[in-house]
Amino acid sequence: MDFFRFELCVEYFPKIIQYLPTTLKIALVSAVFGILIGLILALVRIYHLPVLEQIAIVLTSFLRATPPNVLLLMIFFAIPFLFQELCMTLFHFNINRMDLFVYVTVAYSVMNSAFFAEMFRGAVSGVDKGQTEAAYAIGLTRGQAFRRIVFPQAIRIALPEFGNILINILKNTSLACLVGIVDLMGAVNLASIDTFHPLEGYVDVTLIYFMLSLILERAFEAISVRANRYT
Amino acid sequence: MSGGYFFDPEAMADIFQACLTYVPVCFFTATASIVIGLAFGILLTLLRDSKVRVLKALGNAYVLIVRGIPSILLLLLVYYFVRGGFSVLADRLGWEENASAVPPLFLAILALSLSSAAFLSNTVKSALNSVDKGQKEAGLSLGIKPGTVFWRYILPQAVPVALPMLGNQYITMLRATSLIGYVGVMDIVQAGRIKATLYSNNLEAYFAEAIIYWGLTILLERLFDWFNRRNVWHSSAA
Repeated sequence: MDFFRFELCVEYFPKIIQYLPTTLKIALVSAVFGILIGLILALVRIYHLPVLEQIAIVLTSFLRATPPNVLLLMIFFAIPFLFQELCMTLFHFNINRMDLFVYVTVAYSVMNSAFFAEMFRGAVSGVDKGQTEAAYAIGLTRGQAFRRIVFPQAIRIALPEFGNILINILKNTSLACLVGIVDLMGAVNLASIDTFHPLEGYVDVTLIYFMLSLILERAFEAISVRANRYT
Repeated sequence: MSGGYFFDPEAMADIFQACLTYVPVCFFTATASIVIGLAFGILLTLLRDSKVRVLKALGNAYVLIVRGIPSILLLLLVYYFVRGGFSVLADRLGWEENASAVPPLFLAILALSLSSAAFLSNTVKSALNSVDKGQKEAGLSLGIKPGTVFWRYILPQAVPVALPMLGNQYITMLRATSLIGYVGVMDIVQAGRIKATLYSNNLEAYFAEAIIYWGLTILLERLFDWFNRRNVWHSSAA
C-alpha cells in the first residue's frame, strides 16, 4: 500500500488550479462588501449614534468571537429563515433557489464586515484628534471632515492591518467547501475521486495557498513602505 | 438548504445543553495545543535566531508556510499524513491495527500545536525583542554568563509583554478547536449537528453553538483583561 505518490501531485494540479478563480472570486467579492458594511458599522461607533451604536457593538463582538465555520453555517441557514417570507410576498422569489455562490458571498461579507469595522475604528482613532477639531474650526461639516481629512490619514494607518485581514479572508474561504461550494478545497475531492488519495491534492492546495499568502504579504509590505515614505 | 420557518426554542435549549457537555473537550484541546505549541514555538524561535543559515531558513520557511495556509487544510494534512503513515508502518511491522487506530484527539492536538507554534514563535520573538538591547549588553559586560543573563534578566522582562499576546492566542485557539470535528473528535459543533439531524433544524443548532463560543470568548477576554491589568500593576511597582 503506497502512501504518497508524487506523480499524483502533478496529475491533480491542473484539475485543482481551474477552481482557483472561484476561491478568488468569493474572497474578492466578500471583501468588497465586507468593507462597505464594515465602514457603516465603524461609522456608527465612531460618531456614537444613539441606539445603533449598541447594536453595532453587539454585532461586531458576536461576528468576531464565533468561529468562522460555525458562523458560516449559521448565516447559511439564517438567510432563508429570515427572508423567505419577505421575498416570497414582495418579490415572488423563492430564496432557497438562490445561487449557492451568492449565499456564500453574503455569509462571508457579513463575517468579514466585523473585521473591517474594527480595523476602521482603530485606524480612525489613530488619527490625531486635532485634525478633526481643525476641520470643524474652518467650517467643514462632519461628513466633509471625515471624508477629506480623517479618512485619507486613517487609510495609511490601516494598511498593514488591511493586508492581514485580506490574508485571513483568503484562508477563511477554504471553509466554503463545507457547504458544498467547489473551490480549491472542494476541487481536491473532485480530483481524487477515483484514486482515493486526497493527501497529494491537499499538498497541492497547500502550495497554492502559500503562494497566494506570500504574494499578498509582500505586496502589502511594499504598499505600506510606499505609503509611509513621507513620514 | 431549508431553514425551519418556526424557530423552536425548546429544541434550542436542548441543543444548548447537549453542546455544553462538550465544552471541556474544547478547553482541553485548546490548552494542550497551546502548551505543546508554545514549547515547539520556543524551539522554532531558537531556530530562527540561530547563526546557522540552514536552521534559520528552515524555521522561517515553516512559519511562513503554516501562517499562510488555512487551519482546516493543516488539519486535513495531518489527518491523512499521520493515518497514512501509521497504516504503512503497521503494514511493515505486521501489526493488525489499521489507520483508524490513531486516536482523533491526538490528530487534533498535533495539528493545532503545529499551527499555533508558528504564531507563538512570532509572539515569543516580539516579546524578546521588546526588551531593551542594552539589558543584554549590560549583563554581558558585567561578566555574567549569557545563559544567566537570559534566564534572570531578559526572560522576566519579556514575560509580562508576552502574556497578553498569549491570552489572545488562546482565544484564537479556542475558535480553531471548532474545526476538530472534521478529524473525528466529538466536540461542540459535532454534538450540535447530531442533535440538529434529530430535530431537523440546523439554524437553532448552529446558533446555539455560536452563542456558546461567543460566551466563552467574552468570558476569557474579561479574565485575561483582569489578569493582565493586575500583572502590569505589580511589575511597575517593582
